[in-house]
Amino acid sequence: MSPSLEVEGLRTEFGLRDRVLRVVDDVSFTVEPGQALAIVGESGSGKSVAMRSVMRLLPKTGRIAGGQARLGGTDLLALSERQMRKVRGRDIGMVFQNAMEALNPTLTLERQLTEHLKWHGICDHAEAKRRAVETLGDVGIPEPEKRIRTYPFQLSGGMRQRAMIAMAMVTQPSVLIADEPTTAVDVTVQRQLLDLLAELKARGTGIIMITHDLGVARYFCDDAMVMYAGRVVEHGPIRRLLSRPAHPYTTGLFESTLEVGARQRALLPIPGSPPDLAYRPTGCAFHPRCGRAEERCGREEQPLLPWPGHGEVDLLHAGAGPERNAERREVACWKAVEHG
Amino acid sequence: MATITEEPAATAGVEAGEARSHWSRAWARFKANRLAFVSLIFCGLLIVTALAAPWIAPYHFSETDPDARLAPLGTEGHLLGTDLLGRDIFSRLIYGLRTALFVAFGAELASLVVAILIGLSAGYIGGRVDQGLMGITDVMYAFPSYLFAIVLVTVMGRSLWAVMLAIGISSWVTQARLVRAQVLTVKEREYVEAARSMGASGTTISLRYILPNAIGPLLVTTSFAIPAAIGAEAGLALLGLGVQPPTPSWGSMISEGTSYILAAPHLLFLPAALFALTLLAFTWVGDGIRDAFDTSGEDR
Repeated sequence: MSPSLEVEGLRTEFGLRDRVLRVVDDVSFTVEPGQALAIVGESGSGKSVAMRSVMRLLPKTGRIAGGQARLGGTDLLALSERQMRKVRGRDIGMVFQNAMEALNPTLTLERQLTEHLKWHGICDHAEAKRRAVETLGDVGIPEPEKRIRTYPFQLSGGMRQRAMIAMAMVTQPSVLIADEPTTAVDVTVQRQLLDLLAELKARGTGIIMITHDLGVARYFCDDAMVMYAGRVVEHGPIRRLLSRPAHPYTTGLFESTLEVGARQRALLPIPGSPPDLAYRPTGCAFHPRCGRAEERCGREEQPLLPWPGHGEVDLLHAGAGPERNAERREVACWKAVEHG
Repeated sequence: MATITEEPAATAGVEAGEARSHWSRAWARFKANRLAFVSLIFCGLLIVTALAAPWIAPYHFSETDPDARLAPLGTEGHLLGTDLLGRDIFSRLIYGLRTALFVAFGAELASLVVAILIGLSAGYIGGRVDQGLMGITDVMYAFPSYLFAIVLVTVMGRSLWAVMLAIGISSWVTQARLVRAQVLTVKEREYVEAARSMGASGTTISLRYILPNAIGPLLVTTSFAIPAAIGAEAGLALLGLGVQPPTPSWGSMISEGTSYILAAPHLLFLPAALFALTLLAFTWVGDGIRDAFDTSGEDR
């Protein structure tokens, strides 16, 4: 049974020349084995930085200012760099956005898929190679025994992306972080990737997917966490979140997303752009862009509160059997909390 | 996983059943460049000649023939004539080549090692280490290289090693800066972060992920630095700062030749022509290497 990842009160700061920016502010979530969490938000909302904080892969100016990230009882944020190096790749794998760039062009796939098995002392080279070939086959690369001898540039984009997932998978990590894995690939490849991640999930890997594409997130994620300006504004089961978003920002994200096959509707972009964190708006950071904002929104900080979801109808799941226990929804908007 | 459909589009290289690294692709592009390829063969011949100088040269470079001083071209026994002391020009040219190549390759190899060590540490570690190392590099950069050579040769004497050191020291500075700049670019590549996310150590990352990807442009500058070093060696010799006579150097041969330009023009023109040809060939090889590694417009 692989352990679950519990992140609590994570805060990450970036030191600029004259001030400190809080890029991730009080972020908490849990990913259990075989579950998938989508972290949604515009660029600059802090979703990638949050994940890199968990991996302890922040740039030099970044600093984790507080919180915990427990993986099977160990707080990753308290480990030394040397100990953390053993966790990376072995317990937590990471898949990157740009497959064209995420493989070393001077090493063959064989090297890249077996090296970290050896670094972590998981097995010797022969066994590592056997596993690498098997994993390449698993991710749908034809003739893996032959392909393993090739260099990344000899593979098509889709194959590279899959080779990269294979690289993260070959150590069988308990948690896989995928940073916009589908953004840079064709739609056809996108579907294959999602199937692959779904299959991993079914095998018991906890998956965290950073994305700004809600359609992709819905495909196999259980929960969704919406981030805005470094804070969580809404968190809950993804189906319920999609059928009835509680936070105006979540609503805005939905309305600005084009959905293939859905009934035609007007695309409503969210006006304005995400705030510069150095000039974070007072109160709810979203209020300057929010169509429903009132005077109170600019005055009061909005904590993340349980959302009762009065009169909520689960459109996608109407009449479905008993739901999971984790039906709890949270939202950081007083209007949503008070008016349901 | 059965759910994944196989991708029919296989890439050409794999179909042919060969895994080609980008080195071998660069080599293929180099071979296609006729001028560079011919130059490479010529340079290869020069190198072999230099290595085999004692067997190829009919005389030792300091062996004098008092009966045939300032012999013209085509003299029997001295096909390319002799100099004022009756030394065989052909033999001296070959030994001069040996001097030039030994100094050039030695200096560039040493400067390459130093440049990689300094540039990689400065670029990868960054911070204070970067500031310190680049500070030293800048000081060295500001120092006039000929002045440095004069000081070195004065202190160490006119030995091969002093000349080599003098040239190498003026060469590593630009190389180290280039390595550092390359490392800074490559460091931000996603595959470096990917390696880190898999638990790679700093040494692994710098040696296996950054260095191999940063070295291409360095190879190009080194291939241009070699003819520059050959030129520098001749230049120092011309100024009387080269290797100690009687060890021949093209620079000192040219310098001697200018005194007898009317009586024996071949004393000047032969070393000058060989010097020019050698520089040209090495430069064309450098050009070829640069083009071979220039992958712009090509899908990598």
